[in-house]
Amino acid sequence: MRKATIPVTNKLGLHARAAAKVVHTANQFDSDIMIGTDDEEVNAKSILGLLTLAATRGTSVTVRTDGDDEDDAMEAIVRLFENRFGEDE
Amino acid sequence: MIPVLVLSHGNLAEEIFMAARTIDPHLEGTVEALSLPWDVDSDVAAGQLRTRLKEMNRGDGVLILTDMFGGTATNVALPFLESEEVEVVTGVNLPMMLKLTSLRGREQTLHEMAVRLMEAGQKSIRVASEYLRARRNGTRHSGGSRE
Repeated sequence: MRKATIPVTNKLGLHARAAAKVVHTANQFDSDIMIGTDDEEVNAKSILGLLTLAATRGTSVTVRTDGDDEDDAMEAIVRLFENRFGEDE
Repeated sequence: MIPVLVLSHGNLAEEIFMAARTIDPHLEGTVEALSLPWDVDSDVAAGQLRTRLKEMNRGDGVLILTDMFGGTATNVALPFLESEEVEVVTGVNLPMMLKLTSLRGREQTLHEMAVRLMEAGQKSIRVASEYLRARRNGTRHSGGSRE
């Protein structure tokens, strides 16, 4: 199992379009992928689950990956957050 | 994925489809919209729907999401249930549309998909203050299920 904590840095936070990108990235891996805040943890392959996090800019989220491809999954998810989901700001 | 048709009076179907597609561009190709003009003749609407269903059905049927049970769009769709190649879920909302993003790639029957979308749509309706208060107080637990 891998675990990492990363900040949400884009202006709009983990909004719907960003959440859709997380789901598509997560679905490329067999591992279980969970993303959580202080309040709750949800399945990263569930867009409606991700939206319940209401993670705004500045929120720290914890990513957990567990499975045969957990290293690649973690790298891909972290990169997506670091790239601000492809957004300019 | 089993194809999905959003069906409504006015531009609601088209607009909700556009919103969902903007959020998840991958929905393009598996989801379509049919907006019926307010003054449409019901026989004409039924004909349009029949044509569209025939075009969309790849053998596993078509799931129709309508605006409201009892409304014209739903009433036009109901006769197609008899073919057993169509299922209808009423009261479409945006979370139901986005649920399709999570269902992609899953093996499921038309009926299973209909039930999952209904559950997602119902669960997503919340009084925001109550939901946030419950979360702060820790009275709800992890959304670990694959919603």
